[in-house]
Parts: sequence; C-alpha cells; structure tokens
Amino acid sequence: MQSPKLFAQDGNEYREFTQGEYEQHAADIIEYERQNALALEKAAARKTLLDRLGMTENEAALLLG
Amino acid sequence: MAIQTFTAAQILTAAQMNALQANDYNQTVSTKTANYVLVAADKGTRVVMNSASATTITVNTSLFAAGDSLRLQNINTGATVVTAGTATVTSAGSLSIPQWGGGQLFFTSASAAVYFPDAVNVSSGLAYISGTTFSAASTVSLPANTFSATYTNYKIIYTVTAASTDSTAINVRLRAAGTDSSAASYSNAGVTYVIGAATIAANNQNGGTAWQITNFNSSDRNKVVLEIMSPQVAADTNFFWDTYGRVGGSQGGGHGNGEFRAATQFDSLTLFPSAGTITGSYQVYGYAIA
Repeated sequence: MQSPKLFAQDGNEYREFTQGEYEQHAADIIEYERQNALALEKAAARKTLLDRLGMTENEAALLLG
Repeated sequence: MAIQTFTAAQILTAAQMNALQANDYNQTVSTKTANYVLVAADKGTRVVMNSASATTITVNTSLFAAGDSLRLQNINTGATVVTAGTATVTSAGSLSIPQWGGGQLFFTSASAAVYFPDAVNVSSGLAYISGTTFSAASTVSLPANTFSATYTNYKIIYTVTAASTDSTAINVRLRAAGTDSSAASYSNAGVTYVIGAATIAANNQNGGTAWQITNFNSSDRNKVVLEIMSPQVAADTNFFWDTYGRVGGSQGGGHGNGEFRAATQFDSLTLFPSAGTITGSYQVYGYAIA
C-alpha cells in the first residue's frame, strides 16, 4: 500500500515533506505506538491489580491521596 | 495667533501677516500647566501640556465646526487625557497622551471630535513577529529566523480548529536552519486536567525527542500557548505551555514547563500532531527586551 503524502506548513509555504521529514515522521509513529502500548499495558496492569484488590479507581485515589 | 476674520477694505498689516505665517510654519503654541478646557481660539493651534501631574483637556460643543482641527501634545510626566465635556470624543487609540506623545483633534461637527493619536514605536511589551493560517498540515513550522537576537523570549498562540485524528499528542520540536532537532534532549512536566473531573494528573517526560503535551481534540477547538525562553541563546531553552484540547479522551487541558537541555541555538520551531493533520492559525510575538 502506498503511504499517503504528508505536507508541512513551513513558514508561509505549504509543501510536501522532505525525505528526512518522512523518515522522522516514520520514526515518530513507531515511538508513539511504543508509548501507547506501554500506556495501555500500564492501564491494564492497574485494572488487574484493582480487580484483585476489589477496589475502584476512586477508592485507590483516596487511599493514595 | 488665533484665526483672523478680515473685512472688506481692512488693511492687512505686516505684523498680522507674520503672525499668520508663523502659525502656518511654526504653529502657535499655548502651553498649559493644569487641566485645560479648549476654547474657540485654539482652532488650528497647538496645545502643549506641561505638568508633572495627570491633567485633562476637555472638549465642549459649539466652539468648533466640522473640519476644524488642532494639535495636542504632552511634554511632561503627567499623562493628559482628552476628555469629552459636552462634546463627544472618539478615537481608535488611547485618549491618554503620555509624555512625548501627541495627536490631532479633528472635529466632524460642532459637537463631535475624533482624536487621532500619533503612532508611537512601542519599545516595551509584546511585539508581533509573524502569523499565518495552516490547513491539513502534518507539521507547522514557524518561518526561519523567527527567533533572533532582537528578542530573547517569545509567545506563540496556536488556534487549531480541526484535527483529523482525535487524541494524538501535541508535539513541539525546536528548529535550526530549516531542520527540526530530534535530539533526545526534550523534557517537560506539568499537570493535566479533564473538564468536569475532580482529579488532576501529571504530564511527565524526560529525555524525549520532542516536547509532548496533552492531545489534540478532533471534535472541538484546540488552543496551544507556548512561551519559549532564550531559543537563540547558546544555553538551555526553556518553555512554558498551556493547552486546551483532549486529555485521556475527554475535553481538557494542562499547563507546565520544560527544557531542551543543550546549548543549541534555534531560529524556529515546529508544532505537529503524532498522527493526522491540523488546521488553524498561529501568531508569534517577541517580548521586547527594554
């Protein structure tokens, strides 16, 4: 599948990404997905722990606050 | 010399001619040291306020006609306020005349005047540098050399009216000579909050490749306000951020601060969503140094 073209508003010029910008964008997407996966993993672990303790999010916040 | 009314067969004296000529070439001046109420004889002259205390120049009706005008100036530290007495006074600018300020009072009728303050080069405060709209852009970079030696600190206000993808992170990268820096030197911290929720969460990143602050909202407008400190100085660059958009999938925002920990000098920066495109506008201002 062909990747969609990406465009930059560079000052007053609207232009297509340069090769370097495409490469940076691809690296950013990978990093963003890695961070999202970590966040989801953390949220799932938190939910599992709360379920095991039989507590709600609010109760946990009260306990920690 | 106030305006003269000459009658038929009257002799125009050299003194009168010289006085009128003097007013034409070196406007008649009447200096006032206290509050002053304009009189008809002030037409076409220059009223100069000279008081260390605040004063007023009051404008009343039935003294001037449409088309009449006079100059107002202030040469002392007390501000002078052009004040509507029985006449109306309108202006696109301030009616307060600072020291070394002035302007023209122009009458549009016997009961209405417009004060046109002279433009003053502001040496302090926020100075507009640039701004533009953007549409369906994956990245939005300020023009090259937006950051210069003219100012040390900058304020940038983005209004993002549309984001193609919801809840993608708001990223900012510093830029030099047309290239964004993706060095792992970006850190930021702050608080985030969701509208209507009681809890406040943390925004925290250390050693990232871009500043990353809250999320874009695809169903509502977004505001991103950045204060960039010393980007052109060969020292760490600091920033302060305020956002309104998405937090954790809900409407919210946050504020905080951060740094780029390296002595790189930057002349611009780039705002971009982690995915999709954004549409909106921005304005950049410089904080005058003195």
